[in-house]
Amino acid sequence: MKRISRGLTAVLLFGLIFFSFALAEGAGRIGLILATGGLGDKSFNDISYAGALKAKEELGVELDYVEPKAIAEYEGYQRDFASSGDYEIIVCVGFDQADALNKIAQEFPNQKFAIVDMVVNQPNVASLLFKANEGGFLLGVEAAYMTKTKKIGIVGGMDIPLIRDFFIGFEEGVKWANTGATVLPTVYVGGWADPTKGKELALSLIDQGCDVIWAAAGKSGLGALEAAKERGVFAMGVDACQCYLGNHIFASMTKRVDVAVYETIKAAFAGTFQGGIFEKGIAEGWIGNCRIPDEQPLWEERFGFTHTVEIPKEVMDKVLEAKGKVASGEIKVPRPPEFQ
Amino acid sequence: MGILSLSLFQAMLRMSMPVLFAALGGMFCERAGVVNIGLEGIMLNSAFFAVLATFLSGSPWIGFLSGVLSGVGLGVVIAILTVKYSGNQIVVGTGINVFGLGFSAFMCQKIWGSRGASGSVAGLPLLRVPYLEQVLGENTILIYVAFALIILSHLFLFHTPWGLRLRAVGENPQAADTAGVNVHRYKMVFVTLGSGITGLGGVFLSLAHLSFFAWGMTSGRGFMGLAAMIFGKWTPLGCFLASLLFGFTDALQMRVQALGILPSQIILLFPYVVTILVLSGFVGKALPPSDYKPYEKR
Repeated sequence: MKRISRGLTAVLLFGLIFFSFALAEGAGRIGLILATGGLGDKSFNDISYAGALKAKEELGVELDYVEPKAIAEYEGYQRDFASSGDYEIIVCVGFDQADALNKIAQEFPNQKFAIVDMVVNQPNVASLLFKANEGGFLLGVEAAYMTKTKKIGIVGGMDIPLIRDFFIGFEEGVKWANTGATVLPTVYVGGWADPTKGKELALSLIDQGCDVIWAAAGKSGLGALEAAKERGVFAMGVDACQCYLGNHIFASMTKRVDVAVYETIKAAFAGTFQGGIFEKGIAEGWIGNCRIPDEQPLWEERFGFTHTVEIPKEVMDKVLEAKGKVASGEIKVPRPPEFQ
Repeated sequence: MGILSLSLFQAMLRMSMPVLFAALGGMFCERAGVVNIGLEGIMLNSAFFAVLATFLSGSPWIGFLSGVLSGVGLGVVIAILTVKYSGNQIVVGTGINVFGLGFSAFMCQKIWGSRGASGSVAGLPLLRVPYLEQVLGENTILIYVAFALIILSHLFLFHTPWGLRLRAVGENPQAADTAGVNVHRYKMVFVTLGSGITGLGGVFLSLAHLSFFAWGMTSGRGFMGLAAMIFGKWTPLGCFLASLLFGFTDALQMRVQALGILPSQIILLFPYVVTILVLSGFVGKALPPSDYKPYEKR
């Protein structure tokens, strides 16, 4: 009797160990490390999560995500995820994860990583970048038609190539639409978390006759959107559809982080994952505009609102024409010299 | 005409308000002999509570009150730590700043599901004042509160016996004590009052100028307030003029940028260069009204 029970215990133990190994080996999971903003930001975090969720459902695998509270926590989460060996791919959201990832990717050379909106030069990291200039171009076409005073104002967070990229494309789009509209010289807040200054800058632009305001300035941009609301002029959003913030916001350029994350995860599970820099734009569906007919319902459903400003059909036709031409390469949207 | 216009003047007023409130608040603390470098944290905290209370109650006036009260609350903490327990004022102030950043981010995440910014709430209503409105621009009651505060605190400090006693408490607590002034009580009261006034700056940011809270939205205005206070030589009128100067360079900077004649990096330097020039003694010696040592009765 005793011997039997001992044998049984041994078998059970063995089985348990074997089983747990099998779990660790077999079950490839998706790891998602969000940016410090956390879920609910209606921007990069929410959209990345949507992309990962879609991949999870389609592939039938598990998705684990964490919401770090501070930049200092990134490295710990990345190492936890990587050292567990449970994850087929670990997706890191946000440019400020780059330093930590650069280190961890070298520590775990066999782990696949992806980083959103930043470059990490390691062979096992896919850096997902978005051609903001092309998104700016489409928005510029819309703005050129929506302005009545023929003056458009833009507010930037900081005068850096990353932000100039948005605006160079935007100005080109306004020019291409050829409605006689002009863009005033860009004004910069000098910081990402100063909505007070963002609002004042937008007010100064409106005082100078602008009736369409675009801001690419993080939280400072929220102030610019509020200035436009207060003065009853149009505004536009950036990165994700921000039109839910007010009826005066008629369109937003969108970085389709969901598409990028989804495609990268799928590639990882299909065994076609490659490290390196992937910079894609309109042609690949990584850059869009929330008023384009096949994209609009997606945002409205995601954020639970409806667009109220009517975009006239001829304007939308022009936008779609621009989209087609940029995608086919007929229009080459310029970039800041740093990006060429 | 160009950029020198009424709109520039109005922008200057708006941009100088938060700095002014912080400067006035800081002035009261320092007059009582306590350096309050926690102005930034107090302001951020008040900005947060103003929005939170408005969000919960639906009334911006309750938000206004909560903003001020949360400033008062932090003021009590500072007063107890630095006056009653003679804590190091710099350490306490830094603690308040760190607390303001961390607490607002944490609560924002809990309530609005995002650490970045709160949802939009009803801001303070615009106060309609005929004639004055055309010059000062559309403003909420806070701008008039600020003007009243400048005049009242000037009268209080230099034309009432209590003001005299407060100055004595800062300058020479021993002498004040010998003359029968309750030094500790004066310090406690005015550190708390100063923090409450600073809280108004936060309310201005989140309920009057904007109508939402964003993490870190004070963006150094508390420290600008400290600078304005020193530049203004610890007097209400001086604080006012110094804040106006900072507001003016900021408002001018914004308009010069849109002209596109200079690289924006250089233009963005304006306010900071002015601050450094001002503080590095261009305006004569700035003698603090106190040596800021904790007072122990002997």
